[in-house]
Amino acid sequence: MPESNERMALTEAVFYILLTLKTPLHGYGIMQHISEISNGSVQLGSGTLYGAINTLLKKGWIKIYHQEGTSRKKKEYVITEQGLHIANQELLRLQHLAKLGEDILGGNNND
Amino acid sequence: MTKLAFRYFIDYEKEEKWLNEMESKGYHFLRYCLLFYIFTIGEPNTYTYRIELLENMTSNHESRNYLDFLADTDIENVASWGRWVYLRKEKDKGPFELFTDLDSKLKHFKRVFYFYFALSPLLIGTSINFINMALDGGAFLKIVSGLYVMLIIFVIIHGVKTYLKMNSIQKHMNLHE
Repeated sequence: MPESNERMALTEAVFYILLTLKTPLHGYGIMQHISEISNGSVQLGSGTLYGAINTLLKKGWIKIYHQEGTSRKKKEYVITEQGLHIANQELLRLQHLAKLGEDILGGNNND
Repeated sequence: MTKLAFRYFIDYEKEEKWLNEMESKGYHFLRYCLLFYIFTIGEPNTYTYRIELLENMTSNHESRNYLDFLADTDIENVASWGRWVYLRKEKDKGPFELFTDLDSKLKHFKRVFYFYFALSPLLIGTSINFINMALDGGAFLKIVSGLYVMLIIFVIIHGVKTYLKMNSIQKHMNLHE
């Protein structure tokens, strides 16, 4: 694949999770919130979400917020400084792409 | 009220489809044990069923964490068999897909593929033994070994199908996320 540098694109799922975790949420909360902010168009599967959460924890982009209850742990997660930085970089990349697309395709598209 | 059914599946996606068809007739899958499926009878279309091959046995710490996580998202682990788990979610609580992106779908197919791949030396080895025994054995042994060889051919076909599926996802990933 002709991906040139280390600034690789994030998957949509990862970007959504990072955005969502600006406030601490547990797994189910993440799924619901993503569904809300995408107007129902992004429904994250539980298996996909679990895999993504574990990868993000390992990378240090999110962390465990706190554990509630004693018998059954329902973990909450929150974005880290590093995660915020990565999300902001992705935002810049998307803005750049969007601008490029508008410049080249704009006008002869809808509207 | 319960119903008992006897079935054999190599392809877990076909098995999943069958469980959902049974569900649409009001048979809620409850237990699996060596080719036998036990259902309770109730309101049709209450649950959606999904089958997943875990990375570890269900008793493993990692698997427990994952199943707890699923439980928090309204997904119930109804039954398990080795590393295979049978999961269900009430239809009222929304659609139920485990994997919603190509990355995680591919990962699961790979796991399934290697599961069969790891089994294949054992299966092929025992089938050679069977054939040798059948050659100088009676009719019964010939029939049993014939069935066994057929089973292995099905497993191999399924392995190839899974491999092709993995390939097509990988090609798609060159263009799409």
